[in-house]
This record gives sequence, structure tokens and C-alpha cells, in this order.
Amino acid sequence: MDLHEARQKWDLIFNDPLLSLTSLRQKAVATNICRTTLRSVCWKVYLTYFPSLETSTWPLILQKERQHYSNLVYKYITNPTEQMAKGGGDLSVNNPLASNDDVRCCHVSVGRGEESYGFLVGRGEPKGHMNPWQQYFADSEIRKVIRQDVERTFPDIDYFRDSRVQQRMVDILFIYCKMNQDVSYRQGMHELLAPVLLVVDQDSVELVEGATDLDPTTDVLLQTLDRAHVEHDAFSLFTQVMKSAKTWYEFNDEVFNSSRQRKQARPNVADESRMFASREPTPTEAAKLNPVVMECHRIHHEFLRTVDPQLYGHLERLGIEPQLYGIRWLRLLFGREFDMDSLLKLWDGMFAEDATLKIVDYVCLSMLFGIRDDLLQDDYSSCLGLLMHYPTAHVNPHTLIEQAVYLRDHLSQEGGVQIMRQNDVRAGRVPREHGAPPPSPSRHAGEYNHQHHPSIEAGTDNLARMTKPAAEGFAKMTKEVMKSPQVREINKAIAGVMDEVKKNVSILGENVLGRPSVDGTQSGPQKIRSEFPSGFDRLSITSTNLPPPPPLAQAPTPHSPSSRIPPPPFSDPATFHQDVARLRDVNRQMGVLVEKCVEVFEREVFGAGVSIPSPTSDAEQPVVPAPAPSPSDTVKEAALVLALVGLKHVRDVLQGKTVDFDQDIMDQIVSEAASHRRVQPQTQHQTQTQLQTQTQLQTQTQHQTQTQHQTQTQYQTQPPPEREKEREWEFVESDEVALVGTGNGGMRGGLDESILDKVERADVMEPTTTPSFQENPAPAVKESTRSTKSLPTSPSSSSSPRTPTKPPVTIDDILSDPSLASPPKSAISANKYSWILGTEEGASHRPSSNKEGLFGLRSPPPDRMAASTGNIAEGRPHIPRAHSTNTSSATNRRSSFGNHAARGDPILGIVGGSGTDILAVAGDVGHTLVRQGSGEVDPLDAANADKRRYVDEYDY
Amino acid sequence: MVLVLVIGDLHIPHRVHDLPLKFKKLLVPGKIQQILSTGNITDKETYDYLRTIAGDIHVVRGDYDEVGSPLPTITTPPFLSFLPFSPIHAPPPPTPTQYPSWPLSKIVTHGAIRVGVLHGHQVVPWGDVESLSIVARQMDVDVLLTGHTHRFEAFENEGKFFINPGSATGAYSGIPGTGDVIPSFVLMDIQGNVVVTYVYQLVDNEVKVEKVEFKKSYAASKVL
Repeated sequence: MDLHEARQKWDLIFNDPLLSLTSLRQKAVATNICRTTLRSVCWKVYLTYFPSLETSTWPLILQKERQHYSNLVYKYITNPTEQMAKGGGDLSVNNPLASNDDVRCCHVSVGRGEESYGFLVGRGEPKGHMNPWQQYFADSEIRKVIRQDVERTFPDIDYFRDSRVQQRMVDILFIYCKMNQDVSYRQGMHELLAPVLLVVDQDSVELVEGATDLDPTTDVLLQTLDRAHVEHDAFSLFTQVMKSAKTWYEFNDEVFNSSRQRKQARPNVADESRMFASREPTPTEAAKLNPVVMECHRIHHEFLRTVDPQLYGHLERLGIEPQLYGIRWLRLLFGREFDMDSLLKLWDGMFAEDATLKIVDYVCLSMLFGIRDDLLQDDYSSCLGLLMHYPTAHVNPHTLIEQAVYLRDHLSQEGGVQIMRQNDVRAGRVPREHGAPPPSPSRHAGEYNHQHHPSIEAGTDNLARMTKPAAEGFAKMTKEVMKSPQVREINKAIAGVMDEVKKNVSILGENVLGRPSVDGTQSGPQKIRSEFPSGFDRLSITSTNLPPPPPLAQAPTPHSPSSRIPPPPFSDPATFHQDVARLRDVNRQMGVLVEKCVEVFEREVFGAGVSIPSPTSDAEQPVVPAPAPSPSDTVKEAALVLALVGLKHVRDVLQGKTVDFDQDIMDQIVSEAASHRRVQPQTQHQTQTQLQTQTQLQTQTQHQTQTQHQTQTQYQTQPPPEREKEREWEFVESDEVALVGTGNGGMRGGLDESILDKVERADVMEPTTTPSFQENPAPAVKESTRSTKSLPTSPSSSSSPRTPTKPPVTIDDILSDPSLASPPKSAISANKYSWILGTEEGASHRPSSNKEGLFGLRSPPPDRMAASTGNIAEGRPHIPRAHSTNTSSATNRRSSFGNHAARGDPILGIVGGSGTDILAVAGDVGHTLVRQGSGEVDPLDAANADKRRYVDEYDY
Repeated sequence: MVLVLVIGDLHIPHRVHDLPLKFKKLLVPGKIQQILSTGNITDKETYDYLRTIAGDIHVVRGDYDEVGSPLPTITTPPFLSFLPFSPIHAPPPPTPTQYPSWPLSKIVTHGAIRVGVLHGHQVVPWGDVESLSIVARQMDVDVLLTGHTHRFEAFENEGKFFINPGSATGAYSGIPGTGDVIPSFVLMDIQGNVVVTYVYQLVDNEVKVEKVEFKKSYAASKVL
């Protein structure tokens, strides 16, 4: 660089009227001032070589520093040689081969861990008369090691191939080594020196001979950039850098102790380490001896853990030690990760931000953030490869510095997320909302999702909300249950049916009752007839169209909270079990309702007398049923509508759209069904498809009811389509989310306004049953909990010898004619309580739990099987059970309900008896009903079924 | 800075069984970069020992050397050439990398200094300054190392430096008038154009060190 150019650049720095140390530091990142002007001058300022910008003081400082280096050169290089050459003293001592008694032999390892050299280092000052040759041999060993490294410094940069440059580097490193005997020379220092020397030498200016008429500024410039003193200045800058970087090269224990004392002087770090001390894995003894490993450890286990738990967990899972890449990053100040130009930029920023180089930790973090998403999707070898060969192609060093500064000021998870979003923006993506990686079609993505379930994964919002340990355990248990493919199958099937029913109900409601359609479907009533059975066939297809569960963030409005018992705090296990029991009861009631509705459908759609299809109807073209002019037909239509409304409501409750199960709807339908039971419709319109479906389903029913434990075969013979499996997964996830919300007590699904309206209207219509819930005091709730525990042994099974307090009412009584099977209220409640007491008395009911069906689902005990009528009655005993827990209202309706169930119609068989699994879920609906009756739990769809199952297993 | 050990005329095992113990203590690995031997090491074991001190070893062949001497080639006699195998079982020749056939003279360069090595029995009269000067001029070396006389010499003549390290074992010399031989060897410290010579002699079982310095004069070499 000639003088003129140097002067121009010099002026660029110093002609700024607002020049200050701070502004100069800011410009390093903001305007890239180091690159456009004199980088060596900037670095000298940044690294406090020049403590001020007062250039008039600089020559003095320069002179002092350079003289210092010259003295060192004399002391460590020139003088020993002179001593040897002079041959002073006794030649028998001062000769090359004299014995080396005075020199201690110590092994100093040099290198990046795997490479190490042992060499002699003369330590301490020579005592008395010492052979200079010994020092010479020791020094020449060090020099040999240094030269070995220097010769391969930045092999692709020609500057470092110059032997004079190499000699300079060796001298500088050698003198530094002699000055810092505790660390001596370590491999890597040369790569710190090389850029410094390059920068200083590039900016140097040849002194102009005989130039006398220099203005003071040029004079200072010439002195600052004197080419003759490049080595001196480089040494000084290198020493400044090494003041901070030295700890990364320290090894042995005494050095570590001193450095630890130094670290404790930094209060914030000390606090953090104390804060994380309990959770952080303790480093090994060997690691403790190595400050750089400790530093990596801290970056990884404290900083990264704080700002990005997900990435931390991923790296921990893979077992990638931070020192694998961290030592190189730190010791070389990222010299191996970036090319020279980027490296100098990075150093500009680091030196400007923090002369003590503490920013380096955060630069490491921001570098990790730069490759975060790739890391999260990679396996061990790819991750390691990525970390060892950091992709710097698109990395702007100044961005790293800015992010590092941000992280230093915001060392939290939010800060990490902010960096991620910033990276997203820079990469042209949409900034993410939280820590999860953006969805990508990568082959790793699915694998990843399976490994880390979002709701369980630490650091996600769900877990953050799920603070109570009970809820945590609950969610985990539920997840395990829901992972069972069979359970998911059931959930899906039910959801599919409900979806269909909902569609049809809205249409019917519009046409017949004048109710507004909820989902706005505008198809005619004839579509109902043709669509329902076919829709039943493609359950899986419709189930995939299910709307997603409402987000948890929406705080749902509890349904008429004033009339309910306020939800107890979700704190102790007893309350927890109570809640679960209530849920189970609500579930069971819902099951009863579904059964009832299905029964109505059976009767109305597949009337017993109209099983033969009309010969004139075309199979291709759906037969439009003739409008029913007769009043009986209208009644039938109304019953259908009621049933559909009921089903729809159950569906909504299961899906979480409606918060509370409405008892009124059920009562309505039950009464409706009872009335129609007497009407006994004889004619029904039926299409060809309906008939086909019916027969098909009947076959299914037969298959399943032949052996109640062979439901699994059913699923094996009818594997769900592949698309369904994907859906299953989401389904389970959403269930868990729902569960988490339920576990917290206050979280409830969002409310569908229309449904809520309807439900409230229903409340107004028939408020008579609601008081039964209101009257439920806390002890009653407890009792209901117990009753559900011993649910398999229903008091209604007359043949059971195990219930000494068995009520006089047998199942046959209940299932027979409604007029006959209406026991008095008191009898029912007395039965209930006595039955509960019986449960409490002994474990005589427990053996029934052994009869639980596959997959932990409940199947009816054999004694009740015997008592029930026909195949479909497998699950029948649940019905009276649900009613008995329902306190004493609507006894008549209940008995009629039982009557319908006893008829054994095919469709009822399907829902009630298509494998014990579905039946069990139907029972769960009943549980949900009871729980809802206490007004404190959101019966979010099938998740409650798992709760019940979990509690059953847990209790027994 | 290069430390070069100059050693020769050991005559092990014919005349002396081993190096003096005091010398062995001095000659430790790690200090000496190069060994120039003036020959007459004679046996393989001694040569191997020297190689442990410094790997960079250059030896010229003395008149008694066995190791580096070219072996007589044993060939099958013509009248037996019809045989498919050789009836004479000759020992395998030493591998050329380990025991090359040593040359009679050698020139080694250290920076500006050219060092010539010769055993010296070829130069008559033995140890004569004039004759050695002729050889030094012929070889165009700045430093000429010779042996054979078993007597330490180090002198400068006509701008050239002549070193005779003597016998490291103090083996007797057949040359009349030599008398008692003092065990001695030489260590050269070559720095640039300066050769500092340390002479190690075993006098009365004590190691005595002397130092002789030679500075190469560029003017002198230019005249020649």
C-alpha cells in the first residue's frame, strides 16, 4: 500500500466529525469500515492497543510497544545465541553436549487433542550457571513444532508461503511462548496470528526516505503503519487477542484453577452456572482440566439449553459432544470455518463488540442457529459433518455478530426463537411462530415427528402450559393408550358416523323442523336416504375431513356455569379420580344416547317389515322416497330428526365443539323412541344401497358376536387405507392436546356458537332433568366414581352370584316392556347405593376386570352375556348402569330405552355390539355424561375414553 | 544452526571393543542433527549405534571398513551354468538402503559451507597439509574432514578449514611415531558462514572441551 492510498483511508476514518470509540466500534458491523479503510488501525483501536483516538499519543505508544518487542527478541532469541557463541565461562559446561541436569523434562502436549508432541521446555529462570545450550535445545524443539505448523498455515494463501513471513510468525509465536510458559505454544495459535500478521502487513507503508516536509498526520500514519515494525505490531495485536484466547489453550490443572478464579470474577456467568448446576451433567475430571472443554460445555449445556431446548435435546440425543466442534471454533476463532475475507469481517465484529472476546460464545450459538433446521433433521454422522464443515456459503459474518449480540442481551428461549425467525426471513421463508422447524417435505420430517411428539417435547407451548404433574402423567398414559391402532380405529369410526349423521341432521332439521342448517348444506331430503348408508361405508374418507379440534388458546365459555357445581381444583389424586369418573359417566350416557338414536334409525330406516327392496327401483338411481302425507309418517320423520339431533350432539361433544353434554336432548330422544316403540311402524322406504349395506353390516355383526374377543381379526381383515393411518396420527395428537386442556381444568375447547345456541334452547325447553345434576352433592359425586369403578358387575345381572346386595330388578325386567320394567325411583337409587356399598365391601367384583376385552377395553362379563338377549346384548347391561348413575329421573324413558335395545335390530347390533371395542367407547360416552353433569369437564371427543380406560387399569 | 558430529577411526571391534563410556554419555540423541564419519567404523553394530544418535549419517569408507565395502559378487561358475539353481549358497547382500556401499569421499553442504569428508588414507603423505589443501581445492569444499592419523587436528589453511577428529576410541595407529592416542571427536556448530568446532578429548579419563572457530571468508573463495 503506498502512502497516498493509506492517507486516503486514514482520512476516511479520522475525518468523521462524530468519531468516537463507540462510533468506530459500531461501524465495524454497520458500515464495514475495517474493510474499506485501514483494518489494522481499527483493530488496534478495538483491541485497546490504542486506548484512545487521540492520534498524537499514538507514536509514544507505538514506540513503547515496539521497544518492548525488540527487548523480548533480544532476551529470548539474540542473547542466548550470543551466550553460546561467546563461550563464556567453563567450556566443559557451555558446550552443546554438556549434560542436561539443570533442565527439567516436562511433557507438554501440543495440538488439537489427537496430535501431541512432547518436548523439552526449560522452565523458570536458570539458577546459577546454566548451560545456554540446554536452553537452545529446548527452544529449538519449540521452534520446530511452531515451524511445522506455520509452514502449513492457510496453504491456499500465497502470503504465508513466503519464508520470511514464516520466519516472522515463528519468531512471534516463539516469543509469545517464552512469555507464557504456562501454555507454551499450542497448535492453533498460528492460525490466530496469521490473519493478524496479514492485516498488519497489508496495511503497512514503506517509510519514505528523506521526506522531511511531512504534516503531522502523515507522520503519525507513517509511524503507525511502519513496514519495518510489522512484526512488532503483529505481535502486540496477537498478544491482545491471546489475552482472551489464552484460556482456550490452557490445559493443566494449576492453570485451570487460576482461570476458574478469573471466571468467577464474572458474576453473571457464575450465577448462570449455579442456576444450571443441578440439571447440567457434570463434566468429567479430564474435562475440568481443560478450560476450553468447559467453555464448550457451558455453551452447550447452559446457553444452548436456554435458548433452544429442542436443538439441545437433539444434539444430546445424538450424543454429539460440544467439544467436537467447539474446541476448533473457539481456539481458531472460527478460522477454519470461514474463508479469509469472511473471517476478517467476523473478527472485525468480534473485536469491535468485545475486546475480551466473550462474544465468541454467542457467535457459536448464532452459528448453531444458522444450521439449526438442518441439524434437527439429520442423524449423527450428518450432524457431525455439518458441524465440522460448517456451511458458510450463505453466512454473513456481520449477521452472526448481530445475532450474537442479540443473544447476549436476550439469553432466553424467546431470544432463540427471535433468531430463528430472523433466519427465516433472511432465507426468504415465512417466519415461524415457535421453535419447531418449518414443515418440510424432507424424508426426515416424518421420522422426526414420530420421535418427538409435540405435546411431550420439552419447550413447546403445550408442555409449558401443562404444569401439574398429574396432568403430565395423564397425558403420557393417554398417549400410550391412543397409540394403539385399534383404539384409533374406533375413534375414527365413531367420528365418521357422527360426521355423516351431522350432515343429515342439519338437512332434516332444515326441512322438517325449520331449524337452520349448521353447516349450510343445501341438499334436499332425498339425499339423506341415499347418503347415509353409503357414507357409512366410507367412514374413513369422511373422517379425514373432520375439522381440526379448536385451538387451546381459545378460552371456551362454560355452559351455564351458575347452574353447575364449580369445578374443583385439579390438585390431588382423589379429585382427579372423581373427575375421571364423572367423565366416564358422561361418556356412558352419551353411549346410551347414541344407541337410542341408532335404534330409532334402525326402526325408521330399516324397518323390519320392509327388508325386501322394491323390485321396481333402479339400483343405479337413488330412489326418492315418496313424501309422507300420513301423520304417522310425519311422526316418524320427527323421530328421525330427533335421533339425528342427538347423534349430532354426541358428535359435537366428542369433537369438543360443544362443551357440555346436554341431558335434555337425550331425554327427548328417549321419550321419542319410547313413543315410537308403541307405534311400531310397518312401512319404510328403502333403497337398494341401503339394503346392501344392511346385509353387509349384519354379516359384520355376526362375525364379531360369534367370538367377542376376535375383534382384532376384524381389523386385520379390513385394514384401513393408508390415508387413514396418517389421519390417525393427527387424531391422536389432537386428543392429547385436548387432554392437556382438560387436565388443567380451565382449558376447554372452543364453542361452536350455533351448537351452543341449540343446546341452550334445549335447556330452556326441558329443564326438568337438569336439577338432578344440581342436586348432586359432592358425596354423590364420589359415589358415582365408585360405581363406575365397579361398572362391569352391574346390579341388573340377576344371575350373578357375586353381588349379595343384588337388586331385585333383573336385566330382563328392565329390557322388557317399558310398562313392566319401571321400578320405583327409590328402588333404583337404593339399588345403586347398595351396589356401591357392595363394591366397597370387598374385592369380589374385581375378577370381572379379567374379562376386559382386548386392548384394555371393557367387555361385558359372561354372566351378563348369559342374561342378555341375543348377540347385540353384549353391551346391553351398560344401559341400566348408566341410568342408575344418572340419579332418578326419567325412569319410564329408561325402561323403554331398554326395550328398544332388547329388540336386537341389526344396526343397533352394529353400534352396540360391533366388537366390544365400540361398545366400550359407547360406555365411555356415558361417563362423559356424568362428568359433564357436574359441569366441570369438557367431554372432548374420544380422549375421554382413554381417560376411562386409564383409570380402570389404574384402579384395579 | 546445525550441530554436526564428526567422528571416525573407531576400529571396533578389531582394536578397541567400544567407545569410552564418558563419550557415550555425551553422545545422546536429540541434539546432533547430522553425523559425518571419516570411516573405519568397521563393524555394523557401531554403525547402528551411531545411527541412534542422529539419523542423518554420512559415512565414507575407510581402509578397514567392512560394512560399507562393496561385497564381492558371487556368481555361478561357467561350468556349472547348466544347473537350474546356483550350487553356491552366498549370503544375501545387505540391503542397499540400510548399508549402502559407502563412497570413498563425500561432500555435504550446510548453507554457505561445503563440507568434504574423506578418510585420508588416500592422501599421501598422511595428514600432510599441502596434500590436504590440494584435495580440498579439488573437492571445492570450505571444510575438509579427514581421519586415518588418529590424531586430532583443526587448522585453517588458505581460507579453508581442515579437521581431523582423531580416533573416538583411541585405537592405536599403525603410523610410526603416533604414540599414545587420545580419544577424541569433534562437534561442528555451523551457523551461516561460521563454523564453531568443539573438540572433545578424553584426557586422563576426563572430557576436555576445546573450541575452534572458523569463519569462511568470501573474499578468499572468490580469489580461488
